[in-house]
Amino acid sequence: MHSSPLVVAKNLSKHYASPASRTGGFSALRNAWNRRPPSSPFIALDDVSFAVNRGESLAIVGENGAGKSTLLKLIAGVVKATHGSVAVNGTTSALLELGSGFHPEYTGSENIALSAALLGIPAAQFEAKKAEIIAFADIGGALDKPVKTYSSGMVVRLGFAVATAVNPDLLITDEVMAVGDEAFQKKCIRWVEGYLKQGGTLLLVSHSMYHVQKLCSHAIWLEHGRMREAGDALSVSQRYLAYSQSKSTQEMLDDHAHAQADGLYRVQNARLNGEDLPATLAMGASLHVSAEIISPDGRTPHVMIGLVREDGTPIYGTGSEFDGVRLTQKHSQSFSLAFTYEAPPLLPGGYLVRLHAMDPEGMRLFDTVERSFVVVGQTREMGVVRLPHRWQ
Amino acid sequence: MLARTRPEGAMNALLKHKSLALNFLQRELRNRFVGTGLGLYLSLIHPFLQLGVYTLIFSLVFRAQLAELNGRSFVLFFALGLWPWLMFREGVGRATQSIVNNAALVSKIAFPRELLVYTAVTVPFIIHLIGFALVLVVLAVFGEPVALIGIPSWLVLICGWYGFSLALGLLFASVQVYWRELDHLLETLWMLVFYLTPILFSLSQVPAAWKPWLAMNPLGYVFTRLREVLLNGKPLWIATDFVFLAIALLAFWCARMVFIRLEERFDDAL
Repeated sequence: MHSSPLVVAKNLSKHYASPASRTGGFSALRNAWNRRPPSSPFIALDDVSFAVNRGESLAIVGENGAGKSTLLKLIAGVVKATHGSVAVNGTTSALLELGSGFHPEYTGSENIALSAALLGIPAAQFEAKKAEIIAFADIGGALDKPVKTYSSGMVVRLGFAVATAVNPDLLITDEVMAVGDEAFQKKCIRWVEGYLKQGGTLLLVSHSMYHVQKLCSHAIWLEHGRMREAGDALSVSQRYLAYSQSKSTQEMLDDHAHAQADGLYRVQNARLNGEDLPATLAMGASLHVSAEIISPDGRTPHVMIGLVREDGTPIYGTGSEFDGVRLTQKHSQSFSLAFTYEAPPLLPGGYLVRLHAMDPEGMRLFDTVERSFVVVGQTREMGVVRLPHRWQ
Repeated sequence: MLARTRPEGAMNALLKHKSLALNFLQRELRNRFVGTGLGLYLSLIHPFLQLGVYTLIFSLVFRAQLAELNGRSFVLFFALGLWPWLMFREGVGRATQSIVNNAALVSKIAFPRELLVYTAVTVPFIIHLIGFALVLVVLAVFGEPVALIGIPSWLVLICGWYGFSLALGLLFASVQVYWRELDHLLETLWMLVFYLTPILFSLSQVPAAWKPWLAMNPLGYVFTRLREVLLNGKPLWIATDFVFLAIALLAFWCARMVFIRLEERFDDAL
């Protein structure tokens, strides 16, 4: 009977009036009444479509301002879409900001009653679950003190605890598991896992790829309000991780490469597995590096090859001089480089191969060229490389 | 374009979110009375003082004469107009701010926003209903009883008055979100309405030349009826009472449509 998807979003767009074009005053009222679109809108979300089946869980990843929270608000029904539609065929609970319904003057136990009502929990059900909520929050005697005396961690504990009393078809959470101390985070994750095991459906916004991979089966990657990728949680989150690592160092690398471009010995036509574009590599597959090294004086240059993570962390470096290798001469001024990483034990993520052209003495570095690649694979191991290991 | 589904009826919304509505009511009542004496002062002492001052000025200083008093005191006459006015004035005034003041809730949590307006209107009605009952008891003790026979009529009329207040509350609350000058303009409106409606006076005192103009104010009908059913107990029912109830219902329905339409973009303006 539950064959239809739980959530269906069709061509969802959300435009906000940009702060500059906010008129305020009577004309704002007139525009709202006439449903006139804002003149120069900020497009928070642009034509996003997807469906979530019951029992599936979907992560939404992306940079700050990519439209993740807007998407959750649309699904939760807090805001209305400018274009498109979203339908949820079941009950929904949204934890967009824990404790946002709390009144600072009231005690914790007074606040959880309203908070539960805001989540749509009927009074009778709340009374039945009250002890459970209090036990989950585990904030002791603070429960009878006004919320204004709470630390932010305690507010979050109480906020999440209320949510555990709900058993919705769809649970929407926005970064809520990244708050509180580690012990409480784990408690929340255990609860969400239990909820998922019972057939619940989760929509999760998180910057923690660990949470995404642990809790979600599917993921979508939003970029500037548009859907950049959708697929299974593991590969989308890995590619997103690789992207964000590379982005953080891209500018630095660009400068670096440019400064050395006019060197005497140069690297040309660098390819990974024969491709110009960033390559995708399955875990454990070999990586072939080829390039042409230009030597204007015809002498045989040396070359260094470095493998670094996309944030610049060195992993392994070697060179033709170290290994006592001479490049093969192709033409009078051109030497070819052919190099293979045999089944590198790299874990999923983004990496760079750096090629440095050196003088024939192996003393001076003249040119640096980089090629990026992404290792993809199904694993939850962490780190950079898989180290051979054995359990006793 | 966005598909527009038929909006949920007000009753359905209320029943579906019964526990939330009760929670809002409880909280609003507590906000008024817990931890501060101000609630008690504003809801009881201030109106009593107002009643005292108006009585002093009008009956002792101005020595105003009213034909319909029939030997009853001014103070009762004023009380019968003042409390319905306070319910309306405070209910609609608080409703106007109810969405803006709860911006954090409205922009973070999905719940029927109209509940905030209903709460804001309902609490002053409850409080001043209690205050009104107290005043009537006190006046009865001092030999100024109301006509008990008029109470059912009064209750029916006050329901219409409540519906009309809800209507204005919905309208002003949704407009205030976009047009923040509204509440300042309303201050002027309240002042004019208070003095141009037969609350402190009766239509019979008004010079004949002005009477038709003041009679056009529909609120005058409400106050006159609310007063006469308790003052004299007659006429208990007139046909226009039901017209008034119908108008109040219609006003509520229209205002709710406006609210639902303006609600679509609250998030953009809050």
